Amino acid sequence: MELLGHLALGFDVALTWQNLLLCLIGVLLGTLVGVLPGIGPATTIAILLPVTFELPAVGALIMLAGIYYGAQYGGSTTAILVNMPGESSGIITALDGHQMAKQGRAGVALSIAAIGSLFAGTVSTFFIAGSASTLSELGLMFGPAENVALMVLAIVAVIVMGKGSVLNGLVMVLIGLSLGLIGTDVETSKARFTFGIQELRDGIDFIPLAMGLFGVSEILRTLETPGDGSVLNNKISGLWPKWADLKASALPILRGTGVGTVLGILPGSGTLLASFTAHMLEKKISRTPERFGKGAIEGLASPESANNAAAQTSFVPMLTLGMPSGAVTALMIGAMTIHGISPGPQVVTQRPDLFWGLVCSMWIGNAMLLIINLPLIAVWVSILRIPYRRLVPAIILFCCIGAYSVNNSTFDVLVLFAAGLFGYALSRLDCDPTPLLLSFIIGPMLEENFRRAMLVAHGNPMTFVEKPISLTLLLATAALLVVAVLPAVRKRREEVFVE
Amino acid sequence: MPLNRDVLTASLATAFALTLLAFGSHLPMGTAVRMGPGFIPRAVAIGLLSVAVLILIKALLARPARADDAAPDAPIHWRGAASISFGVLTFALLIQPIGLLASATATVFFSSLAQQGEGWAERIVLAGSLAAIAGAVFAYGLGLPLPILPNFL
Repeated sequence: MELLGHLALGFDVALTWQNLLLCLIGVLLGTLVGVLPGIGPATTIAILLPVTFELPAVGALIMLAGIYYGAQYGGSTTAILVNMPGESSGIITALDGHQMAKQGRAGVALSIAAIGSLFAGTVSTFFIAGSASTLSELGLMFGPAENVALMVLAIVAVIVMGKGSVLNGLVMVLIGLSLGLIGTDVETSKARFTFGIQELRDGIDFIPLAMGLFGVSEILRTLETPGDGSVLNNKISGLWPKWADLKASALPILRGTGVGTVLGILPGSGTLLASFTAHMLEKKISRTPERFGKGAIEGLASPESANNAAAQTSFVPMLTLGMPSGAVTALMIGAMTIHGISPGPQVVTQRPDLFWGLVCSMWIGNAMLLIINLPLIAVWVSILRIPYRRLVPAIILFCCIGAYSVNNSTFDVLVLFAAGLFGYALSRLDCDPTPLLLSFIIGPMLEENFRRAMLVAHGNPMTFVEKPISLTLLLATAALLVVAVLPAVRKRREEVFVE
Repeated sequence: MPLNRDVLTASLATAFALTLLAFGSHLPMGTAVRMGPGFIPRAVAIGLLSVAVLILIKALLARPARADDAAPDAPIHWRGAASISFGVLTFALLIQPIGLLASATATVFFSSLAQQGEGWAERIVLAGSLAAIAGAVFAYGLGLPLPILPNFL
């Protein structure tokens, strides 16, 4: 039983009191920030990354995973209570969840969301544990050409699955690549696009960039929506679900978990596709589809489970192949690099403690969410009562301190400022910054692998289509692109985002 | 053609492409076997220019149909953008010379001006208390090496 041995190692790492404590703090901080209206998991992680700098690598990643789950749960709380989802998949949660809250069943909705998430988290943890070794063995067979093909697939997938037009997504990717070029060229040590600025010789740091693009610009965007004072005014009561509620949600939770586990692995899909598919599925098989969108408990239980399962399995390509599948995993890869770990298939074999510890603490984080967060609902609700005008300066200050403390450098605060304004401009142009950040992070790896692949192939670009794995990945990429621009699918995509 | 989002996005892409071409002109292209540091920047620049052209073509073709479904956008929140930018810049300029407590106070105060609805007294109290919390949490709690007080003290 190799699997059990791996899990035992993982729990051994994750269950030390330091790591448990870090996971707990991560979950609490993540929920605290994630609860803030309009702030999604990627933003939360970007804002909270500096908190993990001083920690050892394992602890830092465990805390980040905790932050992620907390942020997700916090986002669901906001979606259910005040109908202000922080990320796209929260829109689906809000469909039925907020209606339940309006009918005075907010407590039930919140606890079903937590129970569904825990179940989904448990199943997908086992799924990750079971599939990781196989996938990373596959990953070890990858040479530079295969890596290039995989990165191209990851980038295209993020564009296709993301919101907004494919062309805008391409612009974001190319701008991300350009920003990633800044700094010293690895092979020739030539400075590129540093404009004579000393601080740029090591390139732009991804933390102030991510904080600006997601954190600061998100705040500016939220300021546009008028509405002063606190966002929540009604009372929350009846926290615990009744037996009938649990019975009604059992099967939807099961189905949602299945949908989410599978869809989460797809690169770029993130959690929106999973939640959306789960919601559609429940509506389709329900005998009373007219209740959906009006507070049907199945319409909340299933997408919330799918959401969490997908969130978890989206770590699979990141952990086994070193390939980010969205903003969150891109940030995690950035964090790993800061701690001196180069993400990729070798992590499973070289740092089993880190890999399995992280997998197990994902599950622990989910369990903590249920145990700790439900009693603390009152606390999170009271945060929603704080007037937004007091939260804004606090978040800005947090971002400034975070950006500064990456390298104790004033320059990084200036990057934060520029990235914030740039991100705001991008969101005004309907450009989602996710592909930008993703390609910024993998751009240097892409260039290095591309140049190496060409060197190995003696300058023959056909190498990318002559190797079977690389050809398959490139064909999949092409298929994705074709599908994305087909009129029928395009219409469908628009429907998803309008809903 | 009106100055719509598509035109602005295409101009943004073009601006990045031109920057890459202009400031990367001295970087050698290398050969196919040994690519120089100039190959990828030029490839990215060409990509940006092509996408910019595609966006403009799409905008021209779709223009009649889109005339009425362009949803009116919320106005740009200049007040927010200005005060938050000012707050962040203040932090950048002040953190090293005068330390965390004073610079955090200034940053919070300036960024609180992003929204209306608060009196001066409230803003000052908020600034002072958030700065104190930040000092306690980051410098003492997390042990980050931040200068706390002005360095001439």
